[in-house]
Amino acid sequence: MKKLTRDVCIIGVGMHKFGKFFDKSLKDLTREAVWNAIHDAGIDASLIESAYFSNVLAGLVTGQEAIRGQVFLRDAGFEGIPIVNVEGACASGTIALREGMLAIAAGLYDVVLAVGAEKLYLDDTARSIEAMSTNTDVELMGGLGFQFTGSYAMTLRKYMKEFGWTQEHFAKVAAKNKYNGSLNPYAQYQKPMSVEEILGSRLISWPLTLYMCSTMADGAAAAIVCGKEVADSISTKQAIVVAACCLRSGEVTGDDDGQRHVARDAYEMAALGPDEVEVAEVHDAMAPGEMVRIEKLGFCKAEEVGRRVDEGYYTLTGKLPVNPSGGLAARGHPIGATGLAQIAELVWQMRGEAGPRQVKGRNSRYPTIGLAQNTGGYVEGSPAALTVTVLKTG
Amino acid sequence: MKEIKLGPYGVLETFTMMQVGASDFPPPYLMGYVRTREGALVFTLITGCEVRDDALEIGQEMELIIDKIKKDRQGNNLVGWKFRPRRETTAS
Repeated sequence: MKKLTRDVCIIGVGMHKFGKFFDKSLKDLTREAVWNAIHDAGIDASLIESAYFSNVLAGLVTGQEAIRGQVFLRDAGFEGIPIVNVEGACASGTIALREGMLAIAAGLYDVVLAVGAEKLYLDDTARSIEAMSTNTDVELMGGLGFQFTGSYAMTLRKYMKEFGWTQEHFAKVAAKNKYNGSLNPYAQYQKPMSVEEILGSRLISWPLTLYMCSTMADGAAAAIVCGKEVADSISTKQAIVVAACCLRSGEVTGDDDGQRHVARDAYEMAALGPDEVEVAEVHDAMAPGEMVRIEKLGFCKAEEVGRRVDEGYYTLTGKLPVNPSGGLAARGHPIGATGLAQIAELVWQMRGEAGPRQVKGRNSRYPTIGLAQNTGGYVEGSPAALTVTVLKTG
Repeated sequence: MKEIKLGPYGVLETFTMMQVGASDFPPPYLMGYVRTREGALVFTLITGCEVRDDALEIGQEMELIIDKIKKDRQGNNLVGWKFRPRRETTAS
């Protein structure tokens, strides 16, 4: 894995709350997240030289198939600058960040905007549900009854058989993330839930129950990205360095579906190992999926993950807090915004701005190394797009 | 990259019973992954057994059949592959 030739950092992040907003359009969601990020960085918006816009389903749910970024960012006040539309299903937000990072590392720009927005609650929710099924190969999988909840269920069933994971472990992870979400003002679900309530909720696809699963959401998230050497001259905010932001596509013929490979790429690029990560945001459209990510990212061997869940290892006060934001199932999963919401959470945690859900660093007051893992879509047998991002302070 | 010829037999890698279906697929139904003898991993609907979560086991032998998948919007049957538990009498 080669290195970037220029250090890239994040100086501002912003979100629009995730949830159900029948009275707001994609323009409203986008505008609020973008301007929250600009105000967070404290920069003059005219410094932004290019933008990377992530959205997955607006074409199918609103009809705005073409020029999405140009439409939604014009409303937010942008004209003239180049805008690139990015799509990679649930990983789109991270891919937008990566495109921005690459453009800065290439020396083309000093300051760019990465933004992700999704609007799924509209008059016809059946249309949105149908649209979500296009995150697969629609001929090979959508046409054969494939459904994402079932995909997670099938993966978890294998781990249960091989490594002793139980439905109770899964409910504990979901309860942890519901609690974290209850402390996050941007989260869709802000109500803590007990293990018993989660286990007692409706069965969706064994071992998954309703309260372990994410639902539809509206929302947006944005980041202001810049060359590290210019950060101090334009913003007073602590610059958080993008030490790695790696992208791969899924694999089916080897012993890895791509998840381990993209993690290895990110650790190499960031020149650090999984044991050094102090806080992580991982992709858990169904909360127990967090345990699979923990194993694939190399944080822990599969046979030990269950015990660590029992010990509270991944809670806000645990040795390695995972999904302090609440993760996808509690914070919400507006598909194209999720990747950048993970990044926003890491930035807040590393700056010490996460309020009641703030986690500690191992050797300093706040975490100095954060990791975000985000996957998108499904092509038969593997995730379609896989990303891992590593952020560092200083 | 190479061409391989696939036979009808494989082993059930994992499966689940859907209690909430994809559109056009009324629950409950069974779906899973079968690893064919030649090594290909195939997503499939599962038929030929009771629609119950304990009707199948990871690792059991499966065989491919061609069967009705669903109806299209005009009411025509769409046909595709499915797997079912391998029947003892089937010759390999």
